Amino acid sequence: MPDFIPRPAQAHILKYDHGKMGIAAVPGSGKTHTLSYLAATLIASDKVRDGQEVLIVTLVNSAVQNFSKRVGGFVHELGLIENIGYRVRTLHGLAHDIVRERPDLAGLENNFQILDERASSDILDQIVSTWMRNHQDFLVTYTHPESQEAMQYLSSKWKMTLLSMAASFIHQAKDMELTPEMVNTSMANNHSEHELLRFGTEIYRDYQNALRYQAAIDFEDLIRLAYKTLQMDADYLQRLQERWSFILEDEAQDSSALQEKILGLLCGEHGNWVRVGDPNQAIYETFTTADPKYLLQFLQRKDVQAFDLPNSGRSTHSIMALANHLIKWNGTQPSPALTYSLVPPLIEPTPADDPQPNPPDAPEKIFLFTEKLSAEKEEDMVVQSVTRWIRENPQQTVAILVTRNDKGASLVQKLKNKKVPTVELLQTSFSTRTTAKKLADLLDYFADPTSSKKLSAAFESLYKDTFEEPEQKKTMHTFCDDLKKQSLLEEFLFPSNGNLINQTELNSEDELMAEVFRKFTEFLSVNQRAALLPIQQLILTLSSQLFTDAHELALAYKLAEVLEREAKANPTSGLKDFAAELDKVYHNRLRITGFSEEELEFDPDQHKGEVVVATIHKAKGLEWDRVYIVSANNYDFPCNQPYDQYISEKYFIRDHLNLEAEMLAHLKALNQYQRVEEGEATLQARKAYSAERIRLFYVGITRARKELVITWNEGKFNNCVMAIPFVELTTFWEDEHASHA
Amino acid sequence: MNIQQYNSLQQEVIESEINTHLFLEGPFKSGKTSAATARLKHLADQSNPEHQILILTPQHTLSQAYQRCLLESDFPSGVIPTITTLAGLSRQFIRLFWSMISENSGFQARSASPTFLNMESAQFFMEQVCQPFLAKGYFLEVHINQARLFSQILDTMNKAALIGYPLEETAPRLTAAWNGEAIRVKHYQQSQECALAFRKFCLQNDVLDFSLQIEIFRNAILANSSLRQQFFKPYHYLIADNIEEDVPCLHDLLLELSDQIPSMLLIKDLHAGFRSFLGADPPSADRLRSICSQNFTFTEQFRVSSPMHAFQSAMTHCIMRKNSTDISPDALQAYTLQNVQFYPEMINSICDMVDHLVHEEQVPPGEIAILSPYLPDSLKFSLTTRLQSLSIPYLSTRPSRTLAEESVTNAVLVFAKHAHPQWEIPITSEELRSALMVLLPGCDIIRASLLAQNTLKANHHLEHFSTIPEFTRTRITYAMGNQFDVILDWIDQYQQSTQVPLDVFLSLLFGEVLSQPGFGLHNDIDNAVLLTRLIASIRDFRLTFQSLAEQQHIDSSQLFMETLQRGLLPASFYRDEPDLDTVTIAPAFTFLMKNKPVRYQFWLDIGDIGWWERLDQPLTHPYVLNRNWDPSKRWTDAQEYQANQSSLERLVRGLLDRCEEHVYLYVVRLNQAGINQSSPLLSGIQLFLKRTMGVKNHA
Repeated sequence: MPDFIPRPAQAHILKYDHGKMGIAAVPGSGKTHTLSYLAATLIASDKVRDGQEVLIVTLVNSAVQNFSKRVGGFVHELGLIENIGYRVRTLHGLAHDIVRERPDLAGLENNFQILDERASSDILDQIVSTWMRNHQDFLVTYTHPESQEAMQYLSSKWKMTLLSMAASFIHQAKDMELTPEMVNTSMANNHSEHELLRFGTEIYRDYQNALRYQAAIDFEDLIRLAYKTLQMDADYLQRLQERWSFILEDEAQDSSALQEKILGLLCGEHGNWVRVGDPNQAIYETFTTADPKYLLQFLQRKDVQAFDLPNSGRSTHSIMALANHLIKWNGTQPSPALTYSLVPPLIEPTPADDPQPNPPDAPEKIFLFTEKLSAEKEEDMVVQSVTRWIRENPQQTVAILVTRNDKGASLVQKLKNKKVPTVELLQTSFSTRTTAKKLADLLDYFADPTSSKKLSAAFESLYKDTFEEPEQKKTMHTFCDDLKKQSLLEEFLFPSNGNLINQTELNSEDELMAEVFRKFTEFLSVNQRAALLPIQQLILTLSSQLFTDAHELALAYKLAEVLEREAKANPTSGLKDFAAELDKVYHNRLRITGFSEEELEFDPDQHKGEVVVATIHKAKGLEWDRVYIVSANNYDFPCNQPYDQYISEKYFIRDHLNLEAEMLAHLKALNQYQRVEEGEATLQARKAYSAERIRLFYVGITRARKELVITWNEGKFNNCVMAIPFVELTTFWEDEHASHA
Repeated sequence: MNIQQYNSLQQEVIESEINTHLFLEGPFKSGKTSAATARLKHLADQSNPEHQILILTPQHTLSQAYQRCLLESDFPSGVIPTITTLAGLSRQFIRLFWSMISENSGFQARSASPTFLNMESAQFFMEQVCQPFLAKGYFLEVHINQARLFSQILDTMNKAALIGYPLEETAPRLTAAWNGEAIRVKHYQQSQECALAFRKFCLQNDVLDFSLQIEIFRNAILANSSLRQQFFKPYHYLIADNIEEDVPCLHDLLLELSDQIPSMLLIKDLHAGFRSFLGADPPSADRLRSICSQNFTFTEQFRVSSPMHAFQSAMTHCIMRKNSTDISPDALQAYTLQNVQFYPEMINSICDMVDHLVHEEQVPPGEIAILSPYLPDSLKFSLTTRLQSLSIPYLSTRPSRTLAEESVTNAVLVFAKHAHPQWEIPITSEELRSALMVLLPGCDIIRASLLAQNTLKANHHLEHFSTIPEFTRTRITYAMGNQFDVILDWIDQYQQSTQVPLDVFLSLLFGEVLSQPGFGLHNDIDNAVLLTRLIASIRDFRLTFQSLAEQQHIDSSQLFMETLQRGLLPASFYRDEPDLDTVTIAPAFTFLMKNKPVRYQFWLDIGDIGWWERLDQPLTHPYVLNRNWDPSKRWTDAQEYQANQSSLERLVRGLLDRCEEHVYLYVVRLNQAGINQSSPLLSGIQLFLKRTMGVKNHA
């Protein structure tokens, strides 16, 4: 039997055997573990019959791997065969499965292609640029009077704004299942020809035409088509309902309307559906159409059994006290509109004798730094502090959490300047870039196989991870330098007499190096002819031999698709061009959807003695011994106060309008025959954004196990103040200390 | 003929009354065709110029047994039966009666003879006809490439002709059955408009695609008994084999001919009908029983082992989730189930086993087939690279693949471009490098690059190896460089003589240079077969365009080059593959169509959904555009599911029928995209494993 002793609250949940159940889980409560175990016990029971599966839906790819491993492990421990009887998918993965099985219903071919984020951004860029050229009056109308003289200077800023608006409009419209034609018809019926709506619709129409022209769909289409497919064919829906007899949904606080609809259909009226989430950790609403209200409403339903998972062994009592105080304070906070943003349950410590007890309390390890600092000084101070700490605690883990990538990049640079071992968890994940780099260097060599420099680069890229010790790294470096100096590579790699030159001549003393290089030359010898294949097939051939990790294989597959599209768009492209494309991924200039959003299976404990710099979004689900939260000011964590500033309200746009919110409000109002007052949506957006930011703050705090440092700065224009939640925590902490004293 | 070698039932068929109609059915390898060829010899003894023999098969590959029979020493001399297909019959008929039927059928160009289009040329013209429609935004939302778009429009036309309904009924039929997104209805309509425009074009220019050819033949022959009688007058005996793979139009014809032709032997393979997506209709074939005075059913299967038979029976039950009676322990000996993590492990395991079979067990390579739902380049590359290194000959078959995608095509066309500078098609360094790697044996990527960089000049002209500096020549090696010069010398000579069409050029280049010892295609069966297909394709294209070229001053070779770049499809299903002693590497359905049994099969990645699903065709539908379809019904998921399940069952049954000793099944945990997979075939195997748990323990 599995070695899992559930806590009382977990044990209660594991009694589940049918129907609908909702669980509100606090950070660190072991919900993934519990859900995985539940899946395994259902599979082992006769509830899941031959041909049926437990469908587990989660938010990001890293969680898919994590869940698969855990469920597989439990299933194995229960004496059954792994990989059978369950399926773990993200919503995109699930939508892909649904559409992939009956692509005809969605009007697609079997091997339909999904456009990656870069390609769809390129399309939007082109469309928005053309639109801007023809609609200068629009820009003038919305530009702040004081900025109108600098229209030329503002051009690039406007473009960025419009691109973001266009992407949001398309996303929202697709979530509302509206085609451009439907929006147009509604506009005509409502006599609602608002220019923001017209902008969105025109871009949406051109964008969809461009997709059709390229015979592609985007990620939003995939989900929309999956939903439509299920609605369209009752037999197919019934078949899938029969197959997925249980649905377990993790991170349900980040569910969108469409996700809820799709899972609702798959579950059916009397089906089995378990939704687990923490409404306090819903931090994706700004980027997506996700909303914690779906989980909260589900928990309230009469046909749903609702439970809490309140125990967490992650943090010290002091850190839990801060997090819990944030929840309690929020119910009475100064902006009434935000009082719903954090909700109980509070975090409770683990019971006595729990296998995962809370770390011993250390209130002295809480540093709430209230001094006003410039942004620069704050960074310097944090870098100095973490540098010292990591030196003193090389066996511990630490992270600096930021809200924006640029802030993270700046901190990373400063840490690197001080030669502090640093790991980035920012926009594009490191592993994504490494995979791309390996393939890019190989392609670059195949493009110019007579170049010893490129041969050396490819060798280093593929095998440098084999040499971890400093001495080994030095050997690798010397070896690669020697390799660069080799001429007559043909005799070296493909000798005319059939005998490989003794490669150990390069470094005869190092046996491992000689062995690795022999492997490399064998790899090249076998695969050089793969250069004759079309690019997609070349990448698949190489990657199937280079990678054994599911994530790397999946990424290489994605890269192969990206390059295939490139080849179709530019038939004259050669290996050199493809290598350059992959290089863009490596240098973070090209994002790969599905891989840039999360670091797959990142384990902080593998990075002891290194400083991890991460956005709070990427830090979700992770924990460190010490956590720094920086920029706790009213720009990064506004609280719906009149003096707060908002990233979405651009200084060059008149009346502090959040144009994106205004535009989306018009779209949402279309079918409701409502009038939209200018500025109203901006105010609403402030509330939603502030609510999400409070939750983001909460998520940041709950990443810490033992030590927590929070700092703030006065912002770029020296006009920011401490964030209200931070002020409140500081006061609370001082009072606590005073009372303890 | 030694009649003793046949069993009693076979003997009965062979010796049945000559002037009678016989219906013979049975599973694969139950001796039907053997009995039929023996009867053929028996009939041939009676045959004379007024009493000839007609043999019909659905495709040429299925007539090989009859072709071989004619060459046997005991076949009566002087008798030459006509062996053909429906397509062949209809072409012959139209040529013969062209002057009579051309005007009545609406042809307007008044040509002296008809021009028949093959798949390539039909697609070429279809593209021309469709361009104005595409410019208007037709098919904007259809996410398939143009070559497939055109082939599907042609498919709807073929189905209408083969089944026998007016072209105008296609869209209403598809629309009535459609259960999905409304936009597809618009595409059905657009497809029909294009089809009608294409039909008009054909009539205006006296060209016949397959659908028009069949439609004219059907209308004339079925409606006009005097024409029918005249055309079939020489035939007294008829043998139609694999009628389950043939189309309703042929079955109609056979029904009509039953009064006119006194002796018919109609043979049906039980459990087959693999060409259903091309219009094969087993229920329609069953109608032919009614005209036969005697029905024979063979049940005993030769060459299929008892374990394989048990495994086949159990597996088909598991796939269809039928309750199974006791599974014979024998079934466990028929297969080996291999679980691997990744593709490379699977490839290595398969190749090691093939190596063992060929080199240690002395199994002829031709007795081994490696099968998967699709055969993408990377899979083929990995398999063939390993097999090559083990010196095991192989032949891969990928019928639906465009010739332009094959590296050997590009390799020979590089030199075709060099030989024909008037085409003004540039050669790039990368494509020259690739060509050298294919055509010069042992030419690695570095030497190919050096040779390409040093011989390709800025004006896209190729210089001889002998002109490049000594040091570089040494690096490339003289052995390789001299072979390159042999090709250029040959082209220099060619340029000094009268230029010939592209297919002839390639035939000469291949025959005189590239197939010779010292060149890459010498003994490279796989590429040689592809090149033969390319040459045949270009020849067909040229023949079609000959008359048009004269009118329109088109250089058919250059036109072919351009069309190839646009993704031309080969006329795959109508060409024969040579029967060689090589390991077969093919998509599973392609292997079935070849109808050739092997001793060992390897099934790749059985978790791939491709084993189960049908190829999506957004503009056509094999089950709806079918005579058995009730036009008042909608095609629902339940039917789709059932059709796919039945198709999988048929596939598994068909493959195991063609596997005499052992099948190796591979389960791959992560596919090439890094995803865990599941498929109904895998589920079927799982159920089989469950059901045999008790059997295993017992055994």
